[in-house]
Amino acid sequence: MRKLIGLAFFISGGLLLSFVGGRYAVGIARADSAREQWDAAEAHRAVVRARELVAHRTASLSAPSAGAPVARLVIPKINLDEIVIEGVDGDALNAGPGHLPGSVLPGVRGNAIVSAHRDRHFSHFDLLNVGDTVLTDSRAGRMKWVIVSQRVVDKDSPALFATRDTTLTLTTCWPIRFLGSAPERLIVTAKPVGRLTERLASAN
Amino acid sequence: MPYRYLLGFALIAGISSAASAQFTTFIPPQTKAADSIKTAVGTQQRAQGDSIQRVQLTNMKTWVDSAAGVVAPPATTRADSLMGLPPDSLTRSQAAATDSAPTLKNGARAPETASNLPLFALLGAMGLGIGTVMLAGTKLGRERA
Repeated sequence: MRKLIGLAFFISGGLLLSFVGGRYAVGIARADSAREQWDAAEAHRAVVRARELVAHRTASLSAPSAGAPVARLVIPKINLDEIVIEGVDGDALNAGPGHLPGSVLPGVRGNAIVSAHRDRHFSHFDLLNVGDTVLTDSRAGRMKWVIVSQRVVDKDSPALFATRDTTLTLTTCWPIRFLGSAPERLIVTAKPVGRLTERLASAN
Repeated sequence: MPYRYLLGFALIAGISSAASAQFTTFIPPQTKAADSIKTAVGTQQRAQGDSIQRVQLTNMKTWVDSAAGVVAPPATTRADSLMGLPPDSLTRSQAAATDSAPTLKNGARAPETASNLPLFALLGAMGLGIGTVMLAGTKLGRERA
């Protein structure tokens, strides 16, 4: 009997660990794929920009499709360098920080909202303070931001608002170190301090 | 009689020389129709020249402004790519593009970023540990027995 119970514990524990490991592995693989797509798109962007400068024309942009890489997010203080993926569903957030559909891209006038899991991409958000620097790169250009506020709200409280000025909002669960479904949300707001002309260096 | 002849020759010579002088300096008047055609042609040529010059100057100014980044070129065509525009023109076109996209609702809740994976990992590790201990205990007890 003792052996059977021990075997049941062993198997169930192994299955749980396999599930968690598999989920993390899929997320890492998708994040790598998103980074490759981003790099390819960045190279393509340079070609298109040159072509458009020659042809004196600009393009209109359509809304990004779900799961597509839409931006790059760099926070030097916590060595964060992630590709932001369109969407905030389970699969998107498993691969990387997700851009909330309906919000603008970082660098466009309005509120750009990016969310991520506290146990992965935003796992060190508790180390951030007001005044820290955030860098983004998207179709709207490369931007430098500074964190201007941090607040913790209940998970069901109204937390996101449209803004007239250019804003970057980063959200994750709170408390960061919490087992189970976290009851609160950390809302970090950043304002732009300038556009960057050079390519973003890796934070790692 | 000779006097008459002399007077006659003198008159003929004088009149003919005067007439010759008149004819040699005569400039026939130009017709009004010819004048109006020349004027019209000249006006047209001047106008064409001016307009070509103006067009060239305008294009040159646009080119210089564009190269200097002073004025963003007008959005006239749709690109085949998803990436790569000057920031300002992107801002405008992005704003236009997001008009059709669902807009952010004021007072929306933060996305569901809660994850149970850390809890599952802990439970899995505990189950694996307990199972290992129990299986090892069973084996040890059997060996002792």
